[in-house]
Amino acid sequence: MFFKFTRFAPIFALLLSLFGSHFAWAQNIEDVPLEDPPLALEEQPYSPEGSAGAASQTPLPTPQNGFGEHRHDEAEPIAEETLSDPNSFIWQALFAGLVVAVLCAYLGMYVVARKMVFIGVALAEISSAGIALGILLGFAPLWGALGFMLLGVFLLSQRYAPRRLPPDAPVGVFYVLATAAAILMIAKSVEGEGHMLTLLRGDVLAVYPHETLQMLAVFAGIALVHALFGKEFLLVSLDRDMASTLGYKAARWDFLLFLTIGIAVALSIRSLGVLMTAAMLILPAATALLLAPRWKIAAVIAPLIGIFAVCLGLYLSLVGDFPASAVIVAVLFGVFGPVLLWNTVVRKH
Amino acid sequence: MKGVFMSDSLMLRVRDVAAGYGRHRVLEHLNFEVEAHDYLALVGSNGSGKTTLLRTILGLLAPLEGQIEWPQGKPHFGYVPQVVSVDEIFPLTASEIVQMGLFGRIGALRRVQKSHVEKAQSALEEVGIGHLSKKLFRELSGGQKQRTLIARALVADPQILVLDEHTNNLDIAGEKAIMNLIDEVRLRHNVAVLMVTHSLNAVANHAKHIGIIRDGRFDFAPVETVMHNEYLTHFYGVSMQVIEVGGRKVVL
Repeated sequence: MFFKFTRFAPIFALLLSLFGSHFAWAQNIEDVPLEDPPLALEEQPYSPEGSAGAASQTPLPTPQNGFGEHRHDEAEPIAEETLSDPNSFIWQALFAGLVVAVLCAYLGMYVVARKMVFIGVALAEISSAGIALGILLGFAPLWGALGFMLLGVFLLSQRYAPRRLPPDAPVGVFYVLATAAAILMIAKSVEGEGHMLTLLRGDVLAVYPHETLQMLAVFAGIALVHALFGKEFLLVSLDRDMASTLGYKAARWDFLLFLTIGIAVALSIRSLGVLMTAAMLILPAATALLLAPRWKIAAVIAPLIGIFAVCLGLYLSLVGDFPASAVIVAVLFGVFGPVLLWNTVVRKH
Repeated sequence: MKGVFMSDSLMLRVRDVAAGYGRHRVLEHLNFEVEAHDYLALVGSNGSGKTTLLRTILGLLAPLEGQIEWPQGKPHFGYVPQVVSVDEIFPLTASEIVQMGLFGRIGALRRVQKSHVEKAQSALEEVGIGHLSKKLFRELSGGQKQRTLIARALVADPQILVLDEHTNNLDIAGEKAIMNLIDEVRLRHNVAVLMVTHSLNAVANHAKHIGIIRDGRFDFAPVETVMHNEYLTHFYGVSMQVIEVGGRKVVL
């Protein structure tokens, strides 16, 4: 009995964390906007209908609660009380960035090592199309992202005319299709292109505390699944046929692995945008695989690189008044570039 | 075509099987039987369907027709894939690769214990590369990689050792060393061996039974029957000659 429970504990944990995150979202929906308002519409409250009349129904967060004030002028000097307030946008950005950095950097190890970088980016783009659909139709973008993520996992796991098309061709088709769909849906939404900028570029400085809590809850579930089934994920990733001969249902393990990656991507995109999510999925893992002599060591180094990039990137962003996500990506490349150069030039000889 | 031997210790019965992918039949009307402790080699050129047949026997592909039967229950496989199928991007040591052979026993939710690491070390020592256990798999030579994969297959005490083109990319010396190693572990572990290869010469002096695949045709016979000029000339449709050098048969 106990064995049966422990066997399914990670699934329960995942469902509970999803439920918990939904509950947290439901609790917060009355207090904060569903989605980050576009920069062009900073002074207007967000509502799915997008009408100015909705202002009284969905008020913007007030400066007193600590988040949202940065939207008024990010170039203003940072007040001392902002830094001392744990609910301020700086700390929220740091918490959210660290949560994403740790998990996405670890999951990215599988994405990079399994040569699925393009699939990972396509999945991110498909999830963003789900967010765009949520914005267009007025439902919570998170569910759009999760729904499209599941659709993406299904579509990308299929084989399309394998004897006539290389496997990355359908992935490319879905990538451009999802991008076009997101652009069309956002263009037709009331809020317009401001959302597209936020969706693509992301804005780690515009993360709400409830989003961070949602990510933390769900990511804890994902981390538990990986802590319990790490060796199975590694086996099916390394040698699928071998896993099958040992009695593993390789397709099911693969699906669970892709599901955890997909959920992490969907949540991360909703809060931080496609750019930072894709960067966190690829660059720390690629750097760690170049640096580390062992898989287990790389699995520690990748999140550390992510943490370093978020901390330094946010600091540079605030000091220099740069877009935070782009600076974090620059920092990630600042680490990756020399490591790649060293591996290409020095190690080769 | 029918297998030519029967035995009480029958391990595998392939009955009128068609193997392939989707609606594409690569091989049809396959009939043969393998007994416990047998040594069977499936020989064919690249693309002839020998790996498709192997995957069908392993249960990785469903037969398109017919039945794969295991009269004594499905055995514990020790699978040795082609070296290139093991992704070298994963920075794993030889020991970590071998430990994977024990994952089926360890089961989900349980971690690798010290005893599993020691068992992996013993398996590596048995195949002669115990001193390389901490070296990355990708840094090993072709022969050492093959030995690592054989150790991984042996570590969980299989009943049948299944090898897929295990001598690919090896030079003659490496090929001979690996074939001799398989002979040794077969006798030591009392396991059946089922291998696919493109080289008849590689298995001619080791296997007990040979299944030859060519142009969709399949024939199965004891090695003594196969290794004759008339048999090979008739099967391949070109003049073939079997000579004996130093007690070993070679096909020219």
